[in-house]
Amino acid sequence: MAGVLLVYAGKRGSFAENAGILLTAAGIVITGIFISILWVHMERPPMRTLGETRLWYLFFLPVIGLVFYLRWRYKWFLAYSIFMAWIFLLINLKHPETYDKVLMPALQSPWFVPHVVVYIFGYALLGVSTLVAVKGLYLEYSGKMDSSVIRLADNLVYFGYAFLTMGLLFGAFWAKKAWGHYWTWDPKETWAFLTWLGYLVYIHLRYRHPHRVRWALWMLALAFVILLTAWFGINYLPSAENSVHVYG
Amino acid sequence: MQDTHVAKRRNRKEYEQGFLFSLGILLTGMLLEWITKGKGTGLPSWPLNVQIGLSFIIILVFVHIYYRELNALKWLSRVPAAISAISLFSFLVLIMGLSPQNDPDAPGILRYTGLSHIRNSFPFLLSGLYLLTSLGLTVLRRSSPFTLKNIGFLLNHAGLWIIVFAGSLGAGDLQRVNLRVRESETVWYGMDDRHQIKELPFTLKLVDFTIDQYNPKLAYIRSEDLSFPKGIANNLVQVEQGMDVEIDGWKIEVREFLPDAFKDSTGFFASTERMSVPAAYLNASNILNGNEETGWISCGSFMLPPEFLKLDDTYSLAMTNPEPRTYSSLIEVMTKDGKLIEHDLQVNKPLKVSGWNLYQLSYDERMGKWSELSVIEAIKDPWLAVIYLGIFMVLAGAVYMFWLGKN
Repeated sequence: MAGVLLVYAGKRGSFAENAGILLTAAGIVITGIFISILWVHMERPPMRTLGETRLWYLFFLPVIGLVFYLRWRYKWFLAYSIFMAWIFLLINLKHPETYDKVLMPALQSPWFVPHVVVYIFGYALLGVSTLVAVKGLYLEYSGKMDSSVIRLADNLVYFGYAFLTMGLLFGAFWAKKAWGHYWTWDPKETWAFLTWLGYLVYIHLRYRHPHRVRWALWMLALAFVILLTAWFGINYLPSAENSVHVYG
Repeated sequence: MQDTHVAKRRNRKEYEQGFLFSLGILLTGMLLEWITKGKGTGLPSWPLNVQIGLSFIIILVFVHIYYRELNALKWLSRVPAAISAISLFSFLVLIMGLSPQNDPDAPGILRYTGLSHIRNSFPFLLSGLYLLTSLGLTVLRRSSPFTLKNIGFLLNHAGLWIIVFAGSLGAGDLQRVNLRVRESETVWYGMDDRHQIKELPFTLKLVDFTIDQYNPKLAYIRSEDLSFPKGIANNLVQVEQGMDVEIDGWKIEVREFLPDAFKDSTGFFASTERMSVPAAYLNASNILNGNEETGWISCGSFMLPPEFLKLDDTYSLAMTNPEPRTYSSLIEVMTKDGKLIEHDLQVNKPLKVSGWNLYQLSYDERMGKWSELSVIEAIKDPWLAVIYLGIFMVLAGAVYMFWLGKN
């Protein structure tokens, strides 16, 4: 994670930049090793609880940041994604989990891993797109708008949306195998669907009004609020008490 | 190309129209609910649903071919209408996500506007119709002339259309029958979701129900109300023979763990007697003051009360009920044409028989591992193939989006 500082230093010299990239990559590898060890120790994929999914988020965020940095040289983007990963790391350190081996029968399915992984990856991409939206709004309102920002957001949303769609549909396949119906308007499903609809509106706005940048950025921020509700806000909603997705 | 003034005004008008149209649909739907005293819409089943569906498609295609130049139709197949249709639909889904649905004690205003049972309400129906019309016309418009460049667009949009279309019309043909069967018992009927008895075209005999459980967990709880104290690490650990664990300053040793035990005046002893319970003999010593407590804990069962080990005035150790690792039913199914099928029905592995799918749903959780009851759900969904077609189209479209995003 000290890689971020070095990357910024890399603005001046390419050695610092390479060291920064290596450090970030090392951080990612270490996180990956931790997750693998946890997986083996728990004898099940560590994807059930909120804390476990945070772990994956903090693995994927730097990956996305690094890839986008290497491909398109967005320094601030790498910094943001590593900053977000740090936040998740700190939350996890503050709330140590009882890593428990129990995995209920319904979760023992070949769909468990693809469904959750695809969703986490999609959420990570869309979360990052929101960071971009925030930066975009800041630039807009201070008059320094740069069109590359909204294009970056678009790229991220397209990728993220593809994963979101896959996650939704994988969930439907799994539900059919486990409880016999592909859609039951369970609170998590409902909110996941809402999230999908929110980003759908964003994509249509961008398609039809490519110059209405402000609308698009605000829509992006709103869609992310819906995403957060779907991710863990439902654990606090009264209507979600009976959801099959609430495992704690 | 910037939005010109004319274009901006036209855009604004289209969005205003969209907003007003959506509002109109919502109010019309609510009015219909009011008139029907909040009874909501029924679900058409075969053959009515197929007739309605085909008519709808024919009307759409007809209107597209002969009236495509009408302003109203052009508006319907453009983005502002799409956004307003999606937004109206999202609004209703949002209400579904925020308020508990199908509550028979919901306040009158929610029932009479359909908001307490959105899934089968007139606003939802009309909103769905709006969506299907706008989406359908868009697909028709973009598919003539047909070019390969549009394939991604068509996969996504037509796929979604098929899913919404088949999901709505097919819902009436979906049958879910809940079978509760005891070991050695044979059933050929169950309860459907309207609590009516429904007969099935086969008989099902439960030969044996088996369940394999994880070890129960050791829990560090408040003696007073059996609640979990916050902020204490390790307060829920799976029990293993010979395990040592430290919780909140107590060193706890599991001297003995009996997965199957029965109780007498001296304590627990291993027993595979029916209705036996898991039990563990613990020794706990406090690191700070050297206090020691020894004794049995058990989660108990429907027959035996649970057993706790009191550590001090505030905290005790308890055992949780063991959670299932797998459970399955060995069943014998006899179809109407005399075919006998023996199968081990497990969760996530349904059995297909006579057009129905059988799912291992649950068991008598109160009896836990001694459950002699298996709950199996039989489901028939004739529209499933159509839904899957739509789903695969959207998945292919998602892959296409992935490709697009790459540049």
